Amino acid sequence: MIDDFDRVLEAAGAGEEWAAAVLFRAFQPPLLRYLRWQEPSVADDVAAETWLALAGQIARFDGDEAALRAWIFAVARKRLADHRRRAARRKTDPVSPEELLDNPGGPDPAEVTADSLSAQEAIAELTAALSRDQAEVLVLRVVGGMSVEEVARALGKRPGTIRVLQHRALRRLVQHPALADVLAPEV
Amino acid sequence: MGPWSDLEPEMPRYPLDDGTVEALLRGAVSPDDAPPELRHAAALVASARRGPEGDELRGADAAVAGFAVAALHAAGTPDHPRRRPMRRKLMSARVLAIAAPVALLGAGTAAAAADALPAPAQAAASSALAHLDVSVPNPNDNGNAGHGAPLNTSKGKGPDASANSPATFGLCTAFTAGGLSDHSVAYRNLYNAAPSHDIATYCAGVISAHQSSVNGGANDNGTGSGNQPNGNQGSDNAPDNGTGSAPFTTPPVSVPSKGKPSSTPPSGVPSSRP
Repeated sequence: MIDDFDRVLEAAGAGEEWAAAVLFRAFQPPLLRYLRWQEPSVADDVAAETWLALAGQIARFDGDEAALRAWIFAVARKRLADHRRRAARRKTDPVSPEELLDNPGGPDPAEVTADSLSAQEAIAELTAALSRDQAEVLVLRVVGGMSVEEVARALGKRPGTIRVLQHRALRRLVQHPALADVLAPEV
Repeated sequence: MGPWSDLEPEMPRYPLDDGTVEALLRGAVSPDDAPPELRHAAALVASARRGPEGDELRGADAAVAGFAVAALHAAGTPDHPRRRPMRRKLMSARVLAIAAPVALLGAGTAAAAADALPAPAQAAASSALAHLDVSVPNPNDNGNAGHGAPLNTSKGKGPDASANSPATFGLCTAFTAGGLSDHSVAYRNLYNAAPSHDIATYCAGVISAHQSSVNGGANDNGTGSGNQPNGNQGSDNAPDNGTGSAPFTTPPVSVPSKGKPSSTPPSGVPSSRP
């Protein structure tokens, strides 16, 4: 939570560096985590574009911290879609089969404990066994800190759909076969 | 052997009611206090929500500086009427006078500078400074979204100062702020581009045209209508589309407008949430 958010917002809109720093420190880590989960190769660029978009609009923004956070993630998601569209048109972003084989997508959950993971690795493990829809809902909720309604708006779905997706995601996570081995001895 | 081991594999091992789900997702369930079945999930959530780590804040200073300059610039555009004290106006001009020439450096010099900064900061800073020259960014603009793209520079040539060039506004801003050296390549290009070499008149027209386009293009920045209260409109009409397998029905990204241009600071009462 950002202390005295309204003052920070006002000052950031006026170009005050201290306020921009407060926003950056609060939102850049989760933003990067989301983008790196989605598309590591362009995450930094998309984050930069998102901040730039925010800089251009922040003087007009009227909302609380959660609303700003949701706006940032929605812009980032839009920018990411733009990047993907352009990349698809150019088709100049090939990934070799060897590279794919060398990058299996995260640590084996049976071999790690959550405490030993970086935030990025934790996100990868959180979503490893989920469908794309479930995974994005979970990441936006957990990392983006967005509410059900905010995620629904961002994804163009109904809140009820988001609740179903997140419920299934967590149920699946709890039932993850690899996790079962981790969990059973705990009792 | 856990207490749920005799259940069907597809059966939930733990009753995940809505309250539990919410608490888990909000990080309100401490892994230490969680039921054993949820402990790992709670720990993953806690890890995913941790504070800054690794390189996530690398180059924050440069990024913040770029953000502040861009925000200041945007706040000074006509669609951001904001009464600022004279000191800040002067600061604004000074910052632009400093920032604009930096942004207008040739690509070779800029690249050298870029290498001197961490990637995220460099991306943010270069993007911000570059875009200073072409107005606020347009999330819907697919063509110029890349950072630094608007400055169509090449080493030794400087930015294109023709009337149709997106860099021209930046050049003129720098010129008007007194931040453009008459020995610079950018100045020379501006001089060559201006009819009768009358830079002042030329730039007055460029800035005026830019301000008109900013006003007229208020809805062309991915932020929806400035009159939308808080971006709560439905997203079924979102112009974006899917990108492969991901359901990219992008929402109409909307910045809630203050509604009425005002010279007074916001009331401080958040209006977007109950």
